Amino acid sequence: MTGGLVYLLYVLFAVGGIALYLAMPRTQGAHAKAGLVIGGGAVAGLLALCAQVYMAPHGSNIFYYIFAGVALLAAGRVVTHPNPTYSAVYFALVVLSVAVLLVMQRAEFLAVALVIIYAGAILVTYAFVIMLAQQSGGGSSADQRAREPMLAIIASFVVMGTIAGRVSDLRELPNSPVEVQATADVMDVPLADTPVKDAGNTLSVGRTMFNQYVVVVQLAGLLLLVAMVGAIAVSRKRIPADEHGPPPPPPGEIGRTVPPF
Amino acid sequence: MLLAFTQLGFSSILALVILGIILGMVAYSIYFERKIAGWVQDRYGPNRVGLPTLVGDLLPEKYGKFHFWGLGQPIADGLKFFLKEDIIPSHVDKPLFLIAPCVSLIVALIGFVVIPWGGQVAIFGQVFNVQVANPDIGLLYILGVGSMGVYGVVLGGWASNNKYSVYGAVRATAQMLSYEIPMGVAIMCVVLTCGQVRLEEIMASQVAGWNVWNLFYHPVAFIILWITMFAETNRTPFDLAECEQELVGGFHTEYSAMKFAMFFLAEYAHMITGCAFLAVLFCGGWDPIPFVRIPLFRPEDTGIIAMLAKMAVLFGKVAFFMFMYMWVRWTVPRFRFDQLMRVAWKGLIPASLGVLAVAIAGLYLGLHRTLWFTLPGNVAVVLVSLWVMSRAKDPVSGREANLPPLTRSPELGVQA
Amino acid sequence: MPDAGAYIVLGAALFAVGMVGFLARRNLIVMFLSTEIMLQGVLVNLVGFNRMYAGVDGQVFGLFVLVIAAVEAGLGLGLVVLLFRRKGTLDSEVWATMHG
Repeated sequence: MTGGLVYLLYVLFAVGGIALYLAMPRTQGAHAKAGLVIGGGAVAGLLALCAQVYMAPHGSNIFYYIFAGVALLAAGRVVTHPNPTYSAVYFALVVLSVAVLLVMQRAEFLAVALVIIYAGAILVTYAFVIMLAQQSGGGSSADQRAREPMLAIIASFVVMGTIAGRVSDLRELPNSPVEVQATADVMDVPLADTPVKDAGNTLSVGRTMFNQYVVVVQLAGLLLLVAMVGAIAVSRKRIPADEHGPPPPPPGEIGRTVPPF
Repeated sequence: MLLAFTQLGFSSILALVILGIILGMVAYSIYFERKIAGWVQDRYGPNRVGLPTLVGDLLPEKYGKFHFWGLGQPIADGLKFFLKEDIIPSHVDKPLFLIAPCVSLIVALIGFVVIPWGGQVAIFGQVFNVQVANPDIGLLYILGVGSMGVYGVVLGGWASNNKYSVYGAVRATAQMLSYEIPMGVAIMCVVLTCGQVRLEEIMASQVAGWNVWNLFYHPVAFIILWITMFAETNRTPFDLAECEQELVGGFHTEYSAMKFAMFFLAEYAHMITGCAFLAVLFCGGWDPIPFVRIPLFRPEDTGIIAMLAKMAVLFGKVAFFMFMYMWVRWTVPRFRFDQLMRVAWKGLIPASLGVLAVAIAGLYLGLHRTLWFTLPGNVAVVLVSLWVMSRAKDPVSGREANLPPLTRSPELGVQA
Repeated sequence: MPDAGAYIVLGAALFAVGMVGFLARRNLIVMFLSTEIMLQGVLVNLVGFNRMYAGVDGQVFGLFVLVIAAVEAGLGLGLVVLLFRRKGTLDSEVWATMHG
C-alpha cells in the first residue's frame, strides 16, 4: 500500500469513528440515521480501498463486499443500539456474515463451528439473560446514555489505525503457499461436485488439531471444565441482602437443594 | 441448455422438486395429524371438505355426496390463513414481531439441502449426486441450521411483549440449550462409527458390506437422537413453549393469520427435515431392508428408476417417522418443566455419554464396526442406567418430596 | 478469493468497533456482546493470516478462540446474573463504588 492510500485509510477510519459517535445512544436522542449513512459511506470506502489494494479481480469477490459490509454495519449497530435485544439480533447478523467470510477462505469447519457455538449456544444464552433481566422491553437509563463515547472511539480507532497501518505492508508478505492448500476458489466448485474421496477441510483441521496441538486441546478441555465449575458455583450462590438492591426472596424459594435423581 | 447438464443445474432442479415435495407434505401432514388425532380419540377427524372438483357433485343423488375423505381440508386451511385479517397488536415490538416468523420458516426450509435423497443418478451418461449440496461439513450444517431454529421462537416471544409469550420463549431457550447436548453426543457416535461428517459418506458406509445400518450399531444413540428431535421441534411431550393450559399459546399467542401459519409450517418443515436426517444417519437412508442387497437399491444402480425408487424409500421412512411424531403427540402427555430438564440433564446426557464411551472404546480397539462389541456395549449402558434409576430416591415424575406442604396464602387465613 | 489483507483490515475494523462498545456502553450485556465482536475480529484475522501459509493452523487457533468465547459467555453471564440479582439493574456504573 503506498503512502497516499494509507492516509486515505486513516481518513476512512476517522469518518467511521464520527459515524459511531453520532449513532451512540444519548439522552437527547441519537442521530442513528445520520450515523448509518456516514458509517455506510465509510464502510463502502474501506471496501473500495480493499478492492483497490488487495483483490485479484474475481467474480466471487462480490460476496466479500456484501458480507464484510453487513458485518461491519451490524457490528456498529450492536454497539450503538439502545435496546440490548436488538444488539443481540444484530450480533447474530455479524456472526452469520463472518461465517460466510470464513467459508470463502475454505474454513468450512470453523465457519459451521462458529454458527453452532455462537449463534446456537452463546447468543441464545445472551437472549435468555436479556429476557430474564428486562421483561419490560428495555428503557433503563444504562442504555440511554453512553459513557465517554468520544474518548472510547478515539482510543479504539487509534488502535485500529495502528494495526491497519502496519498490515498495509502485507502485499509483500508471502501470499503464495495458500495455493498449495486451497487449490480452487470455493465459489468455483459446483455445489455437489467435490470429489467424494477428498476429505477436505474437516480432516485437515482434525489432523492438525490432534497431532500438533493435542496438549492445547487438553488445556482447552480443562479450561471448559474449570469454567463450568465456576459458573455453577457462582450462579448457585445465595445472595446476601444488599442495602441498594431489592430484598432477597424468602428462604425456601430459591437455592433449594434437589437430591440427585 | 448447458447448465442443465452440470451438477449445478441438476442441484437447482432437485432443490425445487424437493422443496415442492416438502411443502406438499407439510400441508398434508396437518391433515394427517388431525386424522390421527381422530383415530386416537375414536372420532372421525376432518372428512367434510372434498377436493375442488365436481366429481362429488356429479354422482347420482342416491349415493349421497362424496367428500373424498376430507382431502380438501389443507387447501381450505391454507385459503383461510391467507384471507384472514392480519392483526399486529399495538403493544408489540414491530420489526422483531415481523421478522420472527420469517426466521422460523427460512431456517426450517434450508436444512434439507445436504440430505442425500437417492445416491447417484446417471442421465445421458453423466453421473450426478442426488443431493442439492455436498459440503465438507454436511452433518454439522444440519446441526447449525437446526440450532438457529430457536431464534424464531425467542424473537417472536420477546417481541410479542406479553408475559405468556416471554415465558414460552424462555422455556424454548432453556429446552433447546439442554437438548442440543445429548443430540450432539448421539450424533458423535455415528461420526465415530463411520469416520465421516459428510452425510453422503455416512450413507455410503451403511450400504457397503453387509448393509448394516447404524441403528444396529448404536440403538441407544438412535433412541436418544429420536427423543431430542421431539424436543428440537417443540413437539409433544416437549412442547412446553406453546403449552396451552399454562401459556395460552406460548410464543405465538399474539400471532394470527399468515404469520401464525408461517410458524406452523416451519414446525412441520423442521419435522420433515429432522425425520430425513434421522433416517439417513441411523436407518440407512434410501436402503429399504438391512442385511440384504436388493437389485435396484445398490449404490451402483444409477438409473432414473432406481433414483426414484430410492427417493420413494427415503420419503417412506420420513412418513413413518412423521407418523410416530403424531402418534406420540396424541398419546403421551406433556412433561412438566422440571421433569423436562431432568430428562435431559439426568437421563439423556449421561446415557449419551455412556454410548459415546462405547463408541470410543470400539474405535480404540478397532471394533467400532462390529456388532458383537457395540451391541453389548449399548445393552450395558441401558442396564447401568436402569440400575442407577432403580436406586434413585426421588422418582422422576410426581411432586418432589422436599417441597413445602401445600398451604393457602396466609392473608386468607385458611390452612389446607 | 479475496486476499489476506482484505481480511486483516476487516478484522481490525471489527475489533475496533467492539472495543468502542466495550468502553462506551454501560449495559453489562452489551459490554459482553462487544467483547464477542472483538473475538469475531480476531477470528477473521486468524483466518486471514492462515491464508498466507500452508496448513490450517490458523483455523485451529480459531477453534480455540471459540472455546475461550464459550468459557467467557458461561462464566461472564453467570456473573452478570449474580450482579443483576444484587442490584436489580444491568448498569455497570452502579458498581463504581470503589473509586473515591
